[in-house]
Amino acid sequence: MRSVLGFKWARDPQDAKVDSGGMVTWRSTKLAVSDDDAAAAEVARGLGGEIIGLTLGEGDVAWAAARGASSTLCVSDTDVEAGGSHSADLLAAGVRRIGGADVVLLGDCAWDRLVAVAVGAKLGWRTLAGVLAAEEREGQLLVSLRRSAGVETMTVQTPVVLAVTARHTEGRPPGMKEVLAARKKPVERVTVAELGVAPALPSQIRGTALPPRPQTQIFTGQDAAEQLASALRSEGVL
Amino acid sequence: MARNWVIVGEAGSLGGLVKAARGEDGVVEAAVVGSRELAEAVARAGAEFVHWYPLEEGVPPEAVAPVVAGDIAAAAPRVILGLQDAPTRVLLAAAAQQQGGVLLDSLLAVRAERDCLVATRAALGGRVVETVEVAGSLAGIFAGADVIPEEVAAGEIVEARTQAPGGLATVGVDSAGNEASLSRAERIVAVGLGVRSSENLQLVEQLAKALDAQVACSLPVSEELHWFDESRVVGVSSNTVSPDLYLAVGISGQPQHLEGVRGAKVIAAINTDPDAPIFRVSRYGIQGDLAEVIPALTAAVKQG
Repeated sequence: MRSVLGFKWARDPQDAKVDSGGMVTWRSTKLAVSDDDAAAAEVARGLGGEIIGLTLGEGDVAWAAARGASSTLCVSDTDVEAGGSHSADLLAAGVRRIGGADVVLLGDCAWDRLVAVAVGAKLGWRTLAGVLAAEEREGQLLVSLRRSAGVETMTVQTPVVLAVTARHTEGRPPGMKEVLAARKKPVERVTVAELGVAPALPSQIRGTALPPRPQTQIFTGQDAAEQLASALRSEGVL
Repeated sequence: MARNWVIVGEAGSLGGLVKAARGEDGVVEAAVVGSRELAEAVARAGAEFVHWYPLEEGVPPEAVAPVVAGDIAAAAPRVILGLQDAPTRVLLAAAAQQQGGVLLDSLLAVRAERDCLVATRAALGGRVVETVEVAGSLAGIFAGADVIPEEVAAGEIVEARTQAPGGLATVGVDSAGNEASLSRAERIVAVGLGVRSSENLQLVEQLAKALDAQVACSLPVSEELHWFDESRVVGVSSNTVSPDLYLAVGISGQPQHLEGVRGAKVIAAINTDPDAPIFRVSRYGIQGDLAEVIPALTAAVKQG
């Protein structure tokens, strides 16, 4: 089993500052690792075989190497403003540059829920989102996914893109020894042009604004609970 | 007149989805992958024309993504919308790839201007509303409010060919967990770290019983206090819910949690902190000590 583990390809909304007029400024120009990335790494380790890291931008390029990847491909000149469609283009091109894989694992990232599935579409591979676990059993890939009706188990032929959802924060982050060893593993840096990816499709942010706040009715005093119950009855939700 | 598409792989906020795709005066075609009941629900939600892709036993919606994407691409719509569930996202991405458009998450509305599309979306976990200009076509996840469809004649349903390429099969479903009951719950009482003690948790459970509500929690309550397992966690990466009533008790309202309750009809909150972000998204609130408020609310509910 050969896996590509994509990581650190999105911006963390917590790195953005929003002023009272709804203007957004970013505290960091770097992309960030999400809990879903860590969950994808855990699934990759469980599958065994070779793992190759794939990341966008600078920052910690050894993150996957510290979690079992033997090498990492980094698209170094990523435009962090370009949006999810462009990120998916770069990740798909990165997978091709690596020479393909049986499984591509990406965090099913809440920061942009379309990038991971778009990578599958761009590769033309089978794609599953909301993945909780995967294992190889008797030559078949068994994948567990979260559905509204419960947890579903599927068999899937490779190659496949799995968008993995975190159920918790990373349980056992690598220690200093693993991190130091990871920094010695090979990293190939390529540019967007070298990957042959076209510039981002033209979309332009006209502006941002604070969302309209619902008129929150705060009840106070001795009869606050009675007032709330009465209001909920009026809404027809009790 | 715009002829836009929606893709549906699971039930959800269908009224809001179809209305957003229609815009001011458009016509909505739908690709529905799954049961006949789901196709009928989309037709009742106002889609004028429903392409229904039935699935054979053990075939998941994702298996027919290339077929559905090809059919939609042939119609060359400028706008394709879907909900955030996992199978729909896979279908949406496949359609967008063939359509060649921009992908946008958390869309609230789309309108056509003279030579472009203008979309508004909830960005940064709902902290801002972003207005985006798209020169070509777009495909995106609709994350706006649901609406009750107007009383109109249900749209036409036509069965489409669904020869799945193979290589993907469902071999089992474990619905024993509580996730399903949360996703279908009409009322949810959710607890956060502000509940503080197991004695207070008992008070909340008594309130939930009086409300005939499911009990849920925020992520830290599961991870740090271990009061509930992950199947009871509400949040964008856990369970997204859309009850009639979501009562948040001692929950501050972190963005990942609020994303998970976006579909709730009425959000109410009880918290000691008047500046808690949960109040910004709530229709009703009580600022106060839950040890006093909860028993009083339980009594008020029982009296009704």
